[in-house]
Amino acid sequence: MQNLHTTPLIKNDARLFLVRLGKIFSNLSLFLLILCLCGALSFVLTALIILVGIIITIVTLGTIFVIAPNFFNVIIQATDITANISAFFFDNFYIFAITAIIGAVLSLVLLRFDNLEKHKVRTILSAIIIITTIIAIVVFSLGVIK
Amino acid sequence: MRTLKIKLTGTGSKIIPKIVVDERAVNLKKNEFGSYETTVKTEKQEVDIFLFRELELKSKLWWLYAIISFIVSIFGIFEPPYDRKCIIIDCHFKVSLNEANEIKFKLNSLSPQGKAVNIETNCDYSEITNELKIDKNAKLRWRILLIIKIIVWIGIAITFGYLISKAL
Repeated sequence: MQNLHTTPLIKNDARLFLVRLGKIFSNLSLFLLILCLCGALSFVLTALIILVGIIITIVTLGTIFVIAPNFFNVIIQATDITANISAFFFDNFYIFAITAIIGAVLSLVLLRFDNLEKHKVRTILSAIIIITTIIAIVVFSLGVIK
Repeated sequence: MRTLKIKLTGTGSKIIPKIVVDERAVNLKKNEFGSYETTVKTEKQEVDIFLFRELELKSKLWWLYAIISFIVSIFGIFEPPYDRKCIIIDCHFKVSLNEANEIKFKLNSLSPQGKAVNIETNCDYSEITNELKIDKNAKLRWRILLIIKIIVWIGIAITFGYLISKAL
């Protein structure tokens, strides 16, 4: 009996698949947006490490250099690592940004195929991703973050 | 022309069954209270109403869709999971229609026992099937997919390990 009434609806299988793809692209675009922002975040992390180093030096009144003579070198090494990570994200910024926008647009289009659920959260999220990524591209291309 | 107003409530579990009236799938619209409704017009005095649940793993090309999804989602990392329980709704009602009719289906919680829906209506009806059951075929496909995914993930991990060990 189940097959009898499901057979005329066989094209729904493709619709379900398209909605699934929409969800995948939505997840992917969010991840790519995070990668876009990672460049700036790792830049902030570099500054944070230096700040922590300064705070530790002030709080210990410089005695940290007696306890750990290579303290300054450790801080410099840590900032080097974060600087390298930051450089990787900056070099690939446009790839991440454009893929995030494409993913978000595709998810917006594909989720329209679901005629029962409106996927409000994903739709709003995709719109936010598109707007945020465009702002990030503008900021990046203006050279505010180098 | 007879009108049949169908209302579907209790869809809180995000599972919205498909409804087929008189061999035609009906498009349900969500109302402001979160339930779904639609109005069907028919000349017939008696109609068959089917309620069923679509499972992605029941489709003919499930393997193709699963492969594409797995690749696009970067080996399943960004893929929404397939329904693990594979519970289907199998309902069939024969409803005798008056001029204006109203049927309210209240969906019960998904467990492979008991009635799928409770029905409230002003029409005479006979219940042919009204049950929730596990689709064994879909369940088997879900298990096959899981095993294949685990094998692929192990394969990827081994490949990565090998490449890293070669690079160092």
